Amino acid sequence: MSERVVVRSPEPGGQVPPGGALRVAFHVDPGWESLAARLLVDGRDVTRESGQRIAPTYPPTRVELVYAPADGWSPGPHEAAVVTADGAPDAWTFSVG
Amino acid sequence: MKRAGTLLIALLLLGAIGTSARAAQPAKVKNVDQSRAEVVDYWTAERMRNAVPLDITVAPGGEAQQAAVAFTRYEPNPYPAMHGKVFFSDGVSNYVCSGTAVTSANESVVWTAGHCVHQGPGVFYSNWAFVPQYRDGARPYGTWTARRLMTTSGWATRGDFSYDLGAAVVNANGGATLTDTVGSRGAAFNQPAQQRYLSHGYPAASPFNGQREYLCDSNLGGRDPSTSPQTMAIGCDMTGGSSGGGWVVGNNVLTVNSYGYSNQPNVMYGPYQGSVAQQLYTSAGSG
Repeated sequence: MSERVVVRSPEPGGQVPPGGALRVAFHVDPGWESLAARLLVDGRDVTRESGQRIAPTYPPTRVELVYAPADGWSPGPHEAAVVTADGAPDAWTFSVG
Repeated sequence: MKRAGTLLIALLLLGAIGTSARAAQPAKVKNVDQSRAEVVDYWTAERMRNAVPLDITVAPGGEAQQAAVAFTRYEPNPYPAMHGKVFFSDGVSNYVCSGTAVTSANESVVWTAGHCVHQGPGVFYSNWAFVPQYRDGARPYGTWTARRLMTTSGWATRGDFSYDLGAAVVNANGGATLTDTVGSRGAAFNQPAQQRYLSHGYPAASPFNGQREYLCDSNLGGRDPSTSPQTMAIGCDMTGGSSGGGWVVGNNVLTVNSYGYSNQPNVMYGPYQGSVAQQLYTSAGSG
C-alpha cells in the first residue's frame, strides 16, 4: 500500500526549536494497515520512538510520525531521512536552535 | 511605575496582535463545480453501504504521551438531527467522516475536520455530502451536497493538526436551508479547555460499522504538548469514520475529532478553537 510523504516539518534547511518535534506526514491509500516507512535521524531508526498520529477517517487517509529525542535535541545541524517501502530514501538536513 | 506598567501591557498586546495576525492567515476555499444532482446521484444507497469496515490493524508507535482518560460511550436516543455522517471521494476512493450543522448567517454550514475536506497539503475532496441523522442507511433529512469547501491555511499548507478544522457550505435542498431543516449547534471560540465534552461521531472501522451514531462523554484529559497551539484530549474509543464529529458543550461545538495516537487506545484529540477557527467559521457563514 502506498505511503506518500506530504509534510516534512521542518522543511529542508529549516529549524526546529530545542523543545520542538520533527514531523513527517504521509497520505495513505485505502487498505492501508500499518506504516511501512521508517524515520531515521542522524542515521538512527527512530520510528518506534516516534508518536504515530492517525486521523480517524474511514478508510484511513493520513498518518504522521512525530519525533523528539527523550533527552532533547543537541544544538546544530541534523539529518532526517524517510525510507518508504517503495522508494529511495528521502533525506534532508535541518538545524536545532 | 504606572507608566512602565502601561507600556508593558501595550507591548504584550502588540505581541498578541502580531501572533494573532501570523496565525490568522486567510482560510483556503474551493467553490465546488459539481452540481447537487451529480453528487446526490453519486452517493447511491449501495455506495454508502459499501463504506463498510475492513479489519484495520495499526502498528505500535512510540511512547504514550497521554494516560487513559475515563469516559462513557453510548448511542443517543433520539439522534440529534444536526449531527450527521459525511461522505466524500479522493480520486476513485470513497471515504466517510462526521460533521455538525452549525448556526450561521447563511443557515448552510457543516463544521468538520480539515482532513475531511482537504488533503492538507494537496487538494480539496470531491463528491462531498452531509447526511444528517443518518442511521442504518436511512436519510430522514436527505443528502446535502457542498457548494463550497473551506479549511484553515494551517491545515491546507502545513497539514498542522492544531488547525485541523473544515467547513462545508451546502446547497439548499428542496428550497430549504440546512439549519432551517435540521436545527443547529452554535460554535464557540477561545473558551476554557477544561470542560466536559460530548463528542459525536459515526465510527466505521472495527468494531463499529458506520451505521450508527455514538457519543463519548468525557472531561478534558489533557493537552498534546507536541502541538502548538496545544490540541485537547478526551477519552473516546470511536474509530475511523468519527473524524470531524463535534465536541459539544451545552449547545456549542468547541472542537472536532481530529486524530489519535496508535499507542494510546481510547484517547481522541481535537484542535483548540481560537481566532483562526473563528475566522474560518465567520467566513463560511457569510457566503
